[in-house]
Amino acid sequence: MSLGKIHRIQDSIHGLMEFRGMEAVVVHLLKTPELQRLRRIRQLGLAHFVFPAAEHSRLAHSLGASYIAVRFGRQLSEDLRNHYIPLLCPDDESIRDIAVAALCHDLGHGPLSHAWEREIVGHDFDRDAWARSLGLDNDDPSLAKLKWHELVTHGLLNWAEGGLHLLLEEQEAGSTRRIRDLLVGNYYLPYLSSLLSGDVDVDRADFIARDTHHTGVAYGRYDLDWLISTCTVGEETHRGRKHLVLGFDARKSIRVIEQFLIARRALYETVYHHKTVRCFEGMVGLFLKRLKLVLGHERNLSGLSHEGPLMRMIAGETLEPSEILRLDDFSLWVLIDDIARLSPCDSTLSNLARRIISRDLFKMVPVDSDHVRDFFLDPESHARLAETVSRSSPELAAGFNYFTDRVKFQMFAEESESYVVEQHRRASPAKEHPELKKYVEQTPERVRLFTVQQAVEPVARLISGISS
Amino acid sequence: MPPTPERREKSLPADLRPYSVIGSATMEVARALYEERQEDFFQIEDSFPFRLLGRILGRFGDDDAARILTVFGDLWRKQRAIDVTLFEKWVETHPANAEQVIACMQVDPPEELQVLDLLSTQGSQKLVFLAQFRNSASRVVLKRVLGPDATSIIGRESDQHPLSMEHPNIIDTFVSTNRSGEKFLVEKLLPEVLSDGWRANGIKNAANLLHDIAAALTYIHARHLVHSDIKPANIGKNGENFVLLDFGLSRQVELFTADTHPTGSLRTRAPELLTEGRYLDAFAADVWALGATVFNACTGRFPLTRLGEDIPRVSQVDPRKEFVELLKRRAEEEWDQLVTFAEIPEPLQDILNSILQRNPSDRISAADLHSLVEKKLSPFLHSPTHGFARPVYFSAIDELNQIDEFLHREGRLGQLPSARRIYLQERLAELEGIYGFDSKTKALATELRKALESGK
Repeated sequence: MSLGKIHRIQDSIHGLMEFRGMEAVVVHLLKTPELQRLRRIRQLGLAHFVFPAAEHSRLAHSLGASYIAVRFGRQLSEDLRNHYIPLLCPDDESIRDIAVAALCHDLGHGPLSHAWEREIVGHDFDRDAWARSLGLDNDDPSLAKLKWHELVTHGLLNWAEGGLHLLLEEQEAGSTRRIRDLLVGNYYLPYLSSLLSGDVDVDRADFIARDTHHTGVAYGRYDLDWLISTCTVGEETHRGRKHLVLGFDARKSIRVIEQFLIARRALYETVYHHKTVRCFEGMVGLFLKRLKLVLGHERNLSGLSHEGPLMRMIAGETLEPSEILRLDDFSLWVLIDDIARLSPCDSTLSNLARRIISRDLFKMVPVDSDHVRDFFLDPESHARLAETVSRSSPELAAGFNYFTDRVKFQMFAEESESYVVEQHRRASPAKEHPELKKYVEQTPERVRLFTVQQAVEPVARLISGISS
Repeated sequence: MPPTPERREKSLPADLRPYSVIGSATMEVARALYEERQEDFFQIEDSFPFRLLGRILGRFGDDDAARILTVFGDLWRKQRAIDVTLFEKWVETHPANAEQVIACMQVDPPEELQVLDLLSTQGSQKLVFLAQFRNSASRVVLKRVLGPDATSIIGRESDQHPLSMEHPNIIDTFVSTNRSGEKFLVEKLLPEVLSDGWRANGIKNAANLLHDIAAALTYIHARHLVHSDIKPANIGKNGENFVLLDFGLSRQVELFTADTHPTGSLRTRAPELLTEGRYLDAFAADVWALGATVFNACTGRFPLTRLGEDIPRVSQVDPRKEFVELLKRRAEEEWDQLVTFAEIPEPLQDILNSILQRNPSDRISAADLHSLVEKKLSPFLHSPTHGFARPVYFSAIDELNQIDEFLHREGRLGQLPSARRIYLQERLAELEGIYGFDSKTKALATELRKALESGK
């Protein structure tokens, strides 16, 4: 690897991305199987069924986030040099660290990302068992609150035989530990960690721009160049002590932060929470849930191998890092397709698979969110609903013929880490700024109900309280 | 009409009075010039500059002043005018050294340049001047080669110049010619040129020196060129970047045959050149010289010399021969005592060991060295493209307070990467030693150093 060479990658969003000096390691890490797996996981999961061009991979997004991290790092190193001693400013090494961390931030996502994590992993997954299987230290307090895909990210970075670990350690012994620490916010320049997890961070900065471009929704645009140019570091006083925090220059950044927040909201409303996209996710969720149930009871699907990591994980087993490398969208789609064609023992499973493959989706029940929410307050509601749907759709087992979808969007996170920096480097939370606090309002959860087409009308009548 | 001898004796003209004060030798030259009506030496019509010249020459002794005035006359006869303002600057810069002032006077630079100062005399053949473009404030180094081989030396060095423009670690050089057809080498002026006394001041400097010059060597070796005179004085520093200078002894590798007499500095001469007296592998000799330079930057001595040892100059023929014999004996008999790495920063030890091998065939190549340094020392290397210059606007107390407030009290010292940890260790040791700190500040420096050592 030559540090002197400038490595250039052409990107649909950022144009010619240049990685120079130490940043070149980003380009070399792309060759590792851990990163290459992300080529086979779509950034937007199932959104391409609605937005046909939204086929871009998590690899493209991760690389874009890494490049944005480099740009933020360069801006900060330039901006801070006259205010803080060199030790507190990003140098080439810390810019490289943040670029690598951004590149790896999505490393642990499973097939179809969130649907997989929700249905197969679950929120109450056995953290200790997974940590053991991934070769992580169970006593490490930094792992305690991680989501499953974040835990897997740490497992892959920590995997001593993995190409990613070996390449990073070859650069500098101990660097994987430092990247892992950076990902959980333990870094000697704490403000750099905020670039990875804040209301305005490199992850969002890239996915808003990238998803907007590939879905074609024009109102997701914002001025990335200006946003980067306003980035700085301020001092927040907490319990009588000053802390350095990442922020944006209050004199110049308010409009672009506003634009950024609105762009993100537009994407959520238009793309991520699009009813058909959510319907696909819900149906894949039902399929995975059913598959897990079938494997748990019978573990016998004629014509299908149960030995692969995908099936073993669906059956509830934990995996080692080398097996994680075989989990991707492609293998899941092959599985869905096989089950749709092979007609194994469970008809509900086959039916759901065939519906997903042929895009024969459930339909949304045309009842407003408040009515649906009220309906489910009644403990008997599920039984009544299942009975109504089953009359119209006997081919699907009860509990697998409808699903509810609950979505919620917040402009600012509860524990927001984004700041605006006023005169004398005084930092205050962005959501408390007079011109931004209007975006703090809590929007209510939106509840939608989806079921088979034949059952839509009876279910609508049931929820509305109209007798047939 | 010239004054008669009678008039001359009766009253000394005002223009000649300053010369009479200096001494008889100077007065004699001055009177001769005056009588030749050479008042317009300075491109100024009136005779005031001649009187001013006498006043300036008053800073020298009689003999030196007479020599300088004689050169003035010679140049005038060749219709070369000396700018009196420049002349005064040369005298101010070298007040007691007539040779250096004369060197400045005698150089007839290319028309676009004017000489500001004599920087050094490189051996007996080369004079190095500081010069400035007449139509801009841009300053450069102007090299003048003397003697019968001047043309071939300039040619040899200028042959390499096209490659100099293409590499960030090789000095930008071009050739310029004056009105008489004399050729000069013009080099970019660097803010700093290393010397034998230059110290790396921490591993970061040493690692970057090794990296940058290895990059330059990789580049020229790939083009079949050998530098053959790598030493501290031939390395400059431009910001964070180290730059290889002076390609005066550089030649194609094919010209370094078994009959080629070793050249270049004795400080950095490879052991086989001392023991065999000939080149076995000229590329490997370059690599040794680089290793020796870095060794000196870390330890204060070259691998085969002792601390504080004087190295005879080329002009000291016999002492130099004896010194070569001494180095040869050391290379053969005292290797294990001298070529040791205990004083070298730990991350550099193995790499320097692979360079400072007695047998040239065991020595790492420049290309492999460059790759190895990038691989093993990457945390210490600055980026060639956007490494930022370090500001120095912070007082030592500001520095300590920021380290305390944002690293120590936040519990971040233990999270520092190795390169920054080493830098901070070195910096705190420096700060602790600053004279004039009050006891509270000194205690803070000590506390921070201890906290860093304990990893908190």
